[in-house]
Amino acid sequence: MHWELEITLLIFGVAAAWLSISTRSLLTSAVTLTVFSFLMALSFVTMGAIDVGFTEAVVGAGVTGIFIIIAIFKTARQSPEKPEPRLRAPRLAALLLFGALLIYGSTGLPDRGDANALLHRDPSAAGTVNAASYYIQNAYEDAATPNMVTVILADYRGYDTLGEEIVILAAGLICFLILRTTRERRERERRKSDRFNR
Amino acid sequence: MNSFFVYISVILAIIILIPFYRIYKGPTIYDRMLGAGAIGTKTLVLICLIGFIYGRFDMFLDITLAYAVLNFIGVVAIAKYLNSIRGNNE
Repeated sequence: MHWELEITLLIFGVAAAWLSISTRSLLTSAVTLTVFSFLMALSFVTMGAIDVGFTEAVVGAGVTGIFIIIAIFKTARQSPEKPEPRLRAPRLAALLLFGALLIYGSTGLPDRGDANALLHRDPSAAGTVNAASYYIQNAYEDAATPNMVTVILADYRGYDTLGEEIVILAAGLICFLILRTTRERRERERRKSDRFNR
Repeated sequence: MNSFFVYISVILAIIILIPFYRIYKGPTIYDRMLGAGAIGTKTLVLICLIGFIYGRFDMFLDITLAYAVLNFIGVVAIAKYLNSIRGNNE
């Protein structure tokens, strides 16, 4: 719809991704990855899927960036020197071929929000209309929300989303248990550093 | 009016190039962190403009506020972690 904005954001996204894999400093990679997540979230928002963009921003830009930085500080700061790869031209050709194949495949995808797409035309086992077409046709009247993705996530698949939230809660508690520093451990570290300094 | 907002948002998206250059060149991790924060701030304004384009500004404004809090918390968390690491090393 707003192709100018989408093209600009996607070009910056490609630039950020290239920067994050080409740099030697791992901290730079981590920061560039958060920038990439922000740009992806923004391009989701331009498609009207605010929730998906928000999830991308929370998980990609917020949590993952912090976790990657913690992991870098617990291990190495620089990526090791890589030897010059052999067979450069065939690899590049294979990569370009694969990219061209993906772009060719994407031309067959249905338009966004097209209820009459070939994918949705088959009726369900009970003979009623396909679930995806039903969502597209009835989501706005059923829930009176301005966003179809929200209706599907929070209304039609509410129990599914509740289960996912329990998984996320469990993951958060586990991260807390692993990354917390207890008082005993802090005392031990301090004693060790005192001995070292003396 | 709609295309006005589209062009304004495209110009703002191009302005992202300036903090992006700082992230690319920035000698220290702090420069890069500040650049990422600046890009997050541009993101907020862009989401507001997209809300105007879709004509549902009220809904996008809530998301924008949550983004602002998230951006702030992310930068503060990274800075705090860097600070604690330096304090232990010295």
